[in-house]
Amino acid sequence: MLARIRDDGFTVEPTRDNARCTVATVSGMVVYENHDPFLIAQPEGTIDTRDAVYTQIDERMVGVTGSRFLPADHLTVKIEGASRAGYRAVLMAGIRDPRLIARLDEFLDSYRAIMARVASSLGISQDEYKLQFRVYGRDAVMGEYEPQRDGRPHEIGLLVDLVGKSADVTAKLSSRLAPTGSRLGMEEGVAGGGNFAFPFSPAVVSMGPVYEWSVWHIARLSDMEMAGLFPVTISNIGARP
Amino acid sequence: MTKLSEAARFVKSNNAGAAYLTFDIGFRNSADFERVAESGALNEAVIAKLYPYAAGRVRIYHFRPALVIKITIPRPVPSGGMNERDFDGVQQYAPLLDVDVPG
Repeated sequence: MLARIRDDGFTVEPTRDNARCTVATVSGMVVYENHDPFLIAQPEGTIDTRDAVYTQIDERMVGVTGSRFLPADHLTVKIEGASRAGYRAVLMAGIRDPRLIARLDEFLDSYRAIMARVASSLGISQDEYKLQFRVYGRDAVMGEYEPQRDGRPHEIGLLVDLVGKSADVTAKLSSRLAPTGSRLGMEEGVAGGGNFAFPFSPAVVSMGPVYEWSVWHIARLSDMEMAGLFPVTISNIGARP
Repeated sequence: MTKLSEAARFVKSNNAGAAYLTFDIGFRNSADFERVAESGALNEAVIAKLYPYAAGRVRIYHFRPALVIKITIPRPVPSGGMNERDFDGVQQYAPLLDVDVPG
């Protein structure tokens, strides 16, 4: 992309022959993955596009005027960081028995309770692991906020997600996930010998360490700190005669 | 009235950073864009009903240059947390498809 910056605005055009910039693609840049297309926070201030005018200059070039930069009183940077939350193992299983699907929440509650007993028999306390279920075919994507809760699926995919505080806790508990859930008997007539249709064997997959956000802050920096953290070098690579 | 999925050229969702989810609803032409934007059919109450965790924190932008209505809400959990369901937030728009808008 080639940008020409002038006093009253800028133009952009692609450097590849068969590409082109349009008002929709250029203005779309401030929409994509931003919170707010009109005020975009940067370390040194805010880009204000409220009065921006996007003009198609020729087939492949767009000009922008009217956008402003509002300098901030202080330099800031966003700091993001993650820390290790534990070690994950997962189990994917299919469930097809309509009686089991009809009582799925009850089944999952029992499964969770029995895994808690398994954990304590192994000397693992309740705060050393987290067991979660995602029910594909029902609400795995939106969870408790799924608006379409009516209607019963004829088949579901159950993702059992275990995160233990240590690799050892996860290894010990994960080896019990498949037999415990698959053999759990619910009622007369539901065999409880094979609740889970496994696509693979072994059924449990170790996912290794798992991380989650732990730092997400705006930090105020002095000019010197900024220059030290983000050195800028401008090199002259030659000019046309 | 028609469904948003019919009236719009696209309806999509994405993470906007780790803590926000943003919906971009694009239109085929400025007549379609203005009709839906001016109707107020996509308002805070409608969004908060579909995404209850966003109540009181819904931001709606009418971005004319790209013919896009943009809606930003906080994520239910920060992206990639232990109880994540949609890491990139790319399927969370589905309930919007059936919102009634002037056709």
